[in-house]
Amino acid sequence: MPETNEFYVGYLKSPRTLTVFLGWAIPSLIVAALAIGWLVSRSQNDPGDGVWHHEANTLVGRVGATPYPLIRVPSKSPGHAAETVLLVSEGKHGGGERVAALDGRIVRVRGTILERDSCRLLELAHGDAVKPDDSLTAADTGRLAAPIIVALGEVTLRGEIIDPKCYSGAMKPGEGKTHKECATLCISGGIPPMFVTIDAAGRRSYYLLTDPDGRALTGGALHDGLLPFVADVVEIRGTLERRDDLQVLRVDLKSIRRL
Amino acid sequence: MPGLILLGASIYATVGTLFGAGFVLRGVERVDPAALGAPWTFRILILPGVIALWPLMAWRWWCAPRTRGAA
Amino acid sequence: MSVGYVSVQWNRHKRIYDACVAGGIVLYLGVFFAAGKALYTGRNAISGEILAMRALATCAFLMLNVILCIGPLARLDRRFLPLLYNRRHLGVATFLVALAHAAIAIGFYHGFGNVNPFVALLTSNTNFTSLSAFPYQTLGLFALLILFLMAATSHDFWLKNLGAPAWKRLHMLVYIAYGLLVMHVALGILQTQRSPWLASLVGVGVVIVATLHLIAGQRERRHDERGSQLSPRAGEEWVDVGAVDDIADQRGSTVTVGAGERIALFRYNGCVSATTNVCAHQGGPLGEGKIIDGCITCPWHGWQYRPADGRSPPPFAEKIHTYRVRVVGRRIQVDPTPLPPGTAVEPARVEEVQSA
Repeated sequence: MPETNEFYVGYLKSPRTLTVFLGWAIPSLIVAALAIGWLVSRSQNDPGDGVWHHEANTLVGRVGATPYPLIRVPSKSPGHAAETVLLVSEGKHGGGERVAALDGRIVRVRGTILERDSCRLLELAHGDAVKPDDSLTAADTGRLAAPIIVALGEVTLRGEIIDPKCYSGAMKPGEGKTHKECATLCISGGIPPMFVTIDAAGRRSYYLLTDPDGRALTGGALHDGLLPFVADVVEIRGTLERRDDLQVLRVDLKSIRRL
Repeated sequence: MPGLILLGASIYATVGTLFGAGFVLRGVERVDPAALGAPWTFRILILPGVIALWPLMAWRWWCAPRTRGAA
Repeated sequence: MSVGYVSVQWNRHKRIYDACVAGGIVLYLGVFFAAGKALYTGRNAISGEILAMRALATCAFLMLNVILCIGPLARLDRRFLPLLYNRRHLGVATFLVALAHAAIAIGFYHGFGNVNPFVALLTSNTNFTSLSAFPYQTLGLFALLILFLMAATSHDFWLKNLGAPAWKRLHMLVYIAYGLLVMHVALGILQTQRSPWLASLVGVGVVIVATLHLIAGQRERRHDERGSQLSPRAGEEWVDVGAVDDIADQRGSTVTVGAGERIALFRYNGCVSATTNVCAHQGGPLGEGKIIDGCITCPWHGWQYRPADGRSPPPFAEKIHTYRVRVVGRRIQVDPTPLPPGTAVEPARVEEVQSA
């Protein structure tokens, strides 16, 4: 074929040799792209086994507004008198205002459960999802009288500050750098901050984070002390205590450092 | 500060959209006579660019000769 | 070439090109999404929104890598020129895919909260001094703005009305966008990714893009260095730029004289003409073009100019610089001072020798 014919002009008929070349080059390029897509897709991190049960659920127990909105329900496991379920609202909002008026009362809450390992949350349904209730037996009410608190002393932990709603199944994955800004928004929106550590065997432990006095982290302490470190690999120090089945870490905010 | 940036961007885009609508309907033919009688699909296609670069296109419209095009 | 504007100057090649681009995008997204759904199941399923976001992100990044390779590939091997022909549609498609990625990311990660998602985008992470915690979304945002500007000004209307040099400079921002996106990936997903595949692929992409640019650049530089030795002898305006027989009939070649612009020489119908090497459209290398229907035809998008006066045939109105040229013996001599665009120059006659 004479060389002069092998000149490509978009609006004219292509030379045959060029058509043959493109006939294998373009499909090869697309196949290579598909292979890359498959490879990258299969090499994503496992997003964890958090799960959001979308069927409506009700829990009856003693509601608490401090340090964060939660409900303590009679435990089914022998180790604890009560189990704790954190209460959150839809989207990136905490359950604060919806719980405050009934603090300390026995209530029935309605919503959907998110859970991962021992971490459980209930996203309150629309409307009056928190209502006073008297269906508990006197024995169960007694078991929920006050949390059993055990002081565990000073600890230094390495792990990640998470928003437990996403981490427990609202987003998969709901952790790490790409989720950092979402977790920051969740926590600043009232979802309680938690800390998660993973031991050598891959077991995760969860810690609810409070200020040194055991109260919710809010305002400047939250925004300047805690939020910049959300989702990063950090070391954190504080005083640990167990409240029923919940581990609560009173954080020394100045101790947090990125690793 | 981020609020201000966002406000500035929204104002810029709003002015750009209002200007852009007028530009693609009338101004474009004054700035570039080759656009005389161009189809509406062409006008929609250049609209995002006009919104983004509206101060420049406003200046070009202002400087364009007033005797031809849609005038 | 511009006469009256139309929305898209479709032709058969562009339709095939765009069908390949659209088909490739749909297939890629499908494969990524389906693989993610099939491999991560039950309690360990990845959120559909996040899968879609990642499929779009990797697709756009891959497309940008391909786009950046097309330029140097076409310089090194002319068979890749058809990929360059409709590259701007590929660019616009890349922007749209990236925009869809950004829309899901902003909606999902920055929405549903107690602040405007766009405010959240700018405020929820301000660790600008930390590398591992850096707000990588801002890098993506700036890259997206650049891609938007490029896509929005991709129509020939903008090329004409911004002027080719400004338009070209604007579109060179793609390299800044690429750099920003490499950092967006490196400081974002690569900070959490446990498998080394993604990091390796990004690295390979960067190396390929950089290497192709270096090789193509080197070749151009060598060409110009050869030319820098050419200069008129004292008191003379003519420069010997090569032999007539080095140029095939109906073809061109490129020379650089001193530090000047590149000059394209064409041999056709027993004549030699000289014009600038820079096409008025997108700066394509005219000297690598061909004479078709008596006109210089740019290898990039097929814009045409008459060799004798550097003007596009009517009804088109583009003009390019021409140069005075003469043939002495079998040698071509050029006056390296460019004449105003569209200046008619008598083509130099060549005594055609009958080859035995």
